[in-house]
Amino acid sequence: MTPWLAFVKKECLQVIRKPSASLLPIFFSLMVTSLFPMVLNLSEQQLQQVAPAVLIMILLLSALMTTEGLFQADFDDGTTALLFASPHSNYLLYGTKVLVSWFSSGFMLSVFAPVLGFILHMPQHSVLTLFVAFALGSLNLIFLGAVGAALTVTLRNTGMLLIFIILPMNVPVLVLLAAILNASNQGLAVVSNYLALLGALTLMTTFLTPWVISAALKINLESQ
Amino acid sequence: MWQFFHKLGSPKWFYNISGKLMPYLAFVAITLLVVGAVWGLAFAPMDYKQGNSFRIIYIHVPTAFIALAGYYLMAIAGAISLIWRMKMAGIMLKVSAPIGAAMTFLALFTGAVWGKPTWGTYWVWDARITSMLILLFLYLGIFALMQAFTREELAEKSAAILALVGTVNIPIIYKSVDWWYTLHQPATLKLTEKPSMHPDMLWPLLIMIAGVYAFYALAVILHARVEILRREKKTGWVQALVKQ
Repeated sequence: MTPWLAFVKKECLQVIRKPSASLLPIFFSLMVTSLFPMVLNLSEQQLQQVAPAVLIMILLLSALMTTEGLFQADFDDGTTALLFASPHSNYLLYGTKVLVSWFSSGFMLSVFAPVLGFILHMPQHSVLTLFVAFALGSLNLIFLGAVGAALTVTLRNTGMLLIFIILPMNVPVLVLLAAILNASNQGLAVVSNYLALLGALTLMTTFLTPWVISAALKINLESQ
Repeated sequence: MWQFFHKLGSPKWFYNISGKLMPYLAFVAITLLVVGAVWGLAFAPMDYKQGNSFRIIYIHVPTAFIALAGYYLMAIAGAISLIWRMKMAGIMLKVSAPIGAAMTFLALFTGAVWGKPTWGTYWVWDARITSMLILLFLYLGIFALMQAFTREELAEKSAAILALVGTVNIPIIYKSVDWWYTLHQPATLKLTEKPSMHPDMLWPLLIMIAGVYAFYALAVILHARVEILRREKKTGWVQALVKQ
């Protein structure tokens, strides 16, 4: 087994042994989404109009909650220090780690995204759009959030701070997601163009941020 | 060249040389600001559409210029402090964050004041205003991150990384926010084109821009000097300075 595969196995085992971590975002989003129709008291059509905003906020919050403390356990028990001492590429390892954590939380949430759309009366043809938009969007948001988590790894109770430093960076993703969901509501064909743009942005984030993440962890490690 | 570069990194050298240069810089900044403000506010011709209310441009545009330039300055200082571990670059990064945030706030505030008579509302969700607001959030994020750490060195390095990530992100943010269709008038000044302003209005604006740049430099240097004294308080040369 190559070291990389061993690392993937360790990460996957950690996820499997703690299934609540991947179930919580789903329950959180289901609960919050069903709260909106209760408090807003809107007609189906009005609900459909506010649906993009509600769904984007939920995606954003669940992505931020998953990334908070993403590297803390590894950092505190010395895994991070060992990984830096090893000859393996930290770029690859941290990219993998974030990818696994995305798969267990963001991707699972995207599978449920059509249900959330259903609660808010999004049109039926938007099922696939919702799934792809949520999958790409959460991938992007989780990688960006991981940068914040790596920067604040030595601090405690970073929830608010994390939102503060990462939110401005999330704006392009949020704008694109809003464009996608609104266009999908109106049944426009331009949705696929927006999805392609979001895909391009997500690829860029996915390939660039692991460098920043490992650099941020390294400076935190060096100043211990 | 390299010797100069290394000297620039020494807080003591910076403190001495900036102390000598500061009176001249202050003179230049005050002269430019007074000349530009009096000319712009009192003598420049009135705008045929907006009347006297356009005169806030003499504060709005210079502060908006320095808000963005200040972010890049901060990010470059951050990069230098990460790569060459230069003490002065870290100090520059630290002191330029709150000053840049203040300038961004001023640009937003004057924009809102200008928006009331021109558009009939203080705030419009258009592309350029929203980008400026996000720039303010970026500044505040860096400031908050620096405040959260107790160790100075770690605070600086983390802020430097965040500033660099922000630098890569700013063009994307601008482009994405640009999608929200714009109500804002097109940029008044473009380096590559002939200005759309009458020279009598333009000259005071250029003087104000130079003045605000000089003022910004002065503010950064003043804050940096305080920060140097605070950090180097245990060294011999600061002790000697205090005893004088």
